[in-house]
Amino acid sequence: MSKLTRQNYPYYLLLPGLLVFLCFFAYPSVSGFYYAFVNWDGLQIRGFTGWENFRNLIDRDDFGLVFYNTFLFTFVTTFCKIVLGLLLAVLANMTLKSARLLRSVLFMPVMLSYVAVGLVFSAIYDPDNGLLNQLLAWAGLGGWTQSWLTNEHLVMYSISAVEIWKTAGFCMMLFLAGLQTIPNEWYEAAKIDGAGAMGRFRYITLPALRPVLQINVILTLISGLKVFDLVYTMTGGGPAGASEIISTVIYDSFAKGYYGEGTAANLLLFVIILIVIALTHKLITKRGEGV
Amino acid sequence: MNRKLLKIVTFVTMICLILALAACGSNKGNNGGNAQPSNSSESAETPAPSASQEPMKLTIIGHGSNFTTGWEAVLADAKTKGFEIQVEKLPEGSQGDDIVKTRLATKELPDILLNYSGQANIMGNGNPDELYVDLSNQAWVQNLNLDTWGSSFAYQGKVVGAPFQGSQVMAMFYNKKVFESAGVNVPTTYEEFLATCDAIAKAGKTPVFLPGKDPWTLQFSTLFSTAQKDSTEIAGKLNQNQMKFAEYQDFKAGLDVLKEIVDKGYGSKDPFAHGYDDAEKALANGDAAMFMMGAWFMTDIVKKYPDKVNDIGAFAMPIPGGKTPTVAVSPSVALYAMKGTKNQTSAEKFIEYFESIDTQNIFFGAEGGIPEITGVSKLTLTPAEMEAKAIVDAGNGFVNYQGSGLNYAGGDFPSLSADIVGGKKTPQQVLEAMDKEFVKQAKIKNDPNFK
Repeated sequence: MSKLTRQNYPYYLLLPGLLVFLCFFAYPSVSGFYYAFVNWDGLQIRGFTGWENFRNLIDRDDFGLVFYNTFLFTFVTTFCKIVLGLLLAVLANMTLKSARLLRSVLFMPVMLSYVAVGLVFSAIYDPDNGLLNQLLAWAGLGGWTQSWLTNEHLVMYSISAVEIWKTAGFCMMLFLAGLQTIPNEWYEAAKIDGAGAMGRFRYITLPALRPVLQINVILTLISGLKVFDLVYTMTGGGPAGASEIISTVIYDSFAKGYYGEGTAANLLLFVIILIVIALTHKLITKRGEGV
Repeated sequence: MNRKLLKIVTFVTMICLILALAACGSNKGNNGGNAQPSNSSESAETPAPSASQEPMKLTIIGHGSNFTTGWEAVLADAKTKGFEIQVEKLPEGSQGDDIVKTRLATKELPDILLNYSGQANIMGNGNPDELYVDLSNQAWVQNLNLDTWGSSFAYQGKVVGAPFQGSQVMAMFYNKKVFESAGVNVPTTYEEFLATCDAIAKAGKTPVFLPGKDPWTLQFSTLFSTAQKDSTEIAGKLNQNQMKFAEYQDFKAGLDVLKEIVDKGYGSKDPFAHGYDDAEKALANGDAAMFMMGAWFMTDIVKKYPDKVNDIGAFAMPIPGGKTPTVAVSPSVALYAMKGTKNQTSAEKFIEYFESIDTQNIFFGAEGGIPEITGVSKLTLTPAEMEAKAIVDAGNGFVNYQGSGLNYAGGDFPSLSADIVGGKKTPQQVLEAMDKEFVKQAKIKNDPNFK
């Protein structure tokens, strides 16, 4: 084998994988940008429409509500998952006899299917026969019973609660992995210097977890902005559009045959995710530089 | 070098073998996925025709799900009448539809095509004058009310399709015991309807159950109000951009009824918390008095609440404006005799035989359903279905706007109906949304009427 062939051999081996990536990932993604600007019925392109697909999205009566719901869900679930995940990780990191069992139990909801969880919680939230209202009534808190999924002011928070329950365990696992990389000597040194539990948490744990925090925040923001299964299974975007989010709008557009418009909404979501992630990364990295 | 050449030859031979095997396998698979002729049992069992009568051979193709118990009963009788039928069962859904289109395009025509009815479907496969035999002069057409079913089975005044199964009738279903205890009768005018709702509400029951969790159930007041004799004509005007939904008075009337039911508190207390199953339960158990639905839901009532079946009746919902109350109907699939086939005469004779009262009695006696042909006596219908059928037989059943051949769906009508129930939109806003979506869908298809 010649020297040139030997040098280039690794690249030749990369070619099949690169071809698969280009054909099945890169090309469809990039071509999606194109279909957002044409009149496309899924089979043929009937003309270039420019920004019309995006204008049709903005012209929707519920355009503001769709974005509000999406961002509300994203930020509420991100905040709660990060806080809860961190607290659970600290708990699961303690030297308890049942630490392993605790970690397994806390992680179990992550493994469940979104559709199954959505259907089960739809039943739990039922205003007449649901477990939640029945428990509240039994506990003497009948005044707290609500139409959890049919009250337009409550529905997004009800769905957010399910998302937090389901995926806080995932955040916990990432934080737990980070916690276990922090040397014990740091804590011992801090104890010797007189730092209390809160002090050790604030000045040792949090700064050391910054990289994990960044990953966790970015992942939860992305999953929040892209959510679909849970909302669609629990409410379908109802009642009367009160829980419509960007993903359900995309789904409806494709279902109605507005493929160009659906692709435009998808592209819009992609750009929003990019901007949010870039800003988050910059914010967290900038704060980390001061440490 | 020889070793290298041997490796290359071996590799190329392997690739060729794999490709050859794959090609053979796909050919076998293609044949298995095509329409499956099921002629073996039918023609094998056909009794030998009498010496004086040649067997009447013909082929029928249609979606497999249509050939059920009623068909089997008729087939057994048809054989004794000298028909030798080869049935080709197509896959369900679009796969079967594509096979029909291909067969029509390549002129491989069956003698009878069992396919969807309605104007859009009659015209969708090509020029009906060239494809289908005109059946207007057959005797059974006298028993088909063309005011009700003309748009489903006729084209430009010529009957080209013969109904195959039972139709669907959409009406206001009510609990007779609740009406009795509230001291009200079936309303015949819109004012009586409101008074009935008021009396039932005062009696502590839900007058009209609105299962908003399943928004498709909220559109029935409009399906009733647009079930008029001129619905096909109006659909034509909408398709030609000669009329807007905002001018469609019958459509608006249905929306006004829904809004009034909600505004006056005659609907369910928390409509979006309850779905279709809750509605069946509420009506059967007498917690609700009325439910707007299609007669198909009585199949569930028979299964789930068999002791309540006789408590449920049906009437035509009155709407504002004083028009005669009507029910909405949806036709079954149809038999089309194809022009120019070798056995066209046998096909026409078979359709005449199938649509005769005697054969219809055999079919519906075995299968159930509400026949489009009047005069069929052997029926297995619940009291509610019989009452709905009586309204259709009296000439007060029509296809609504959705079945009238609209080229585009317009807005997402179930969601728009839910917006009325949720107080998010007025009827006028719903009409405007329907117009906006209709125009948008037409422009996407480059419809020349909507430039």
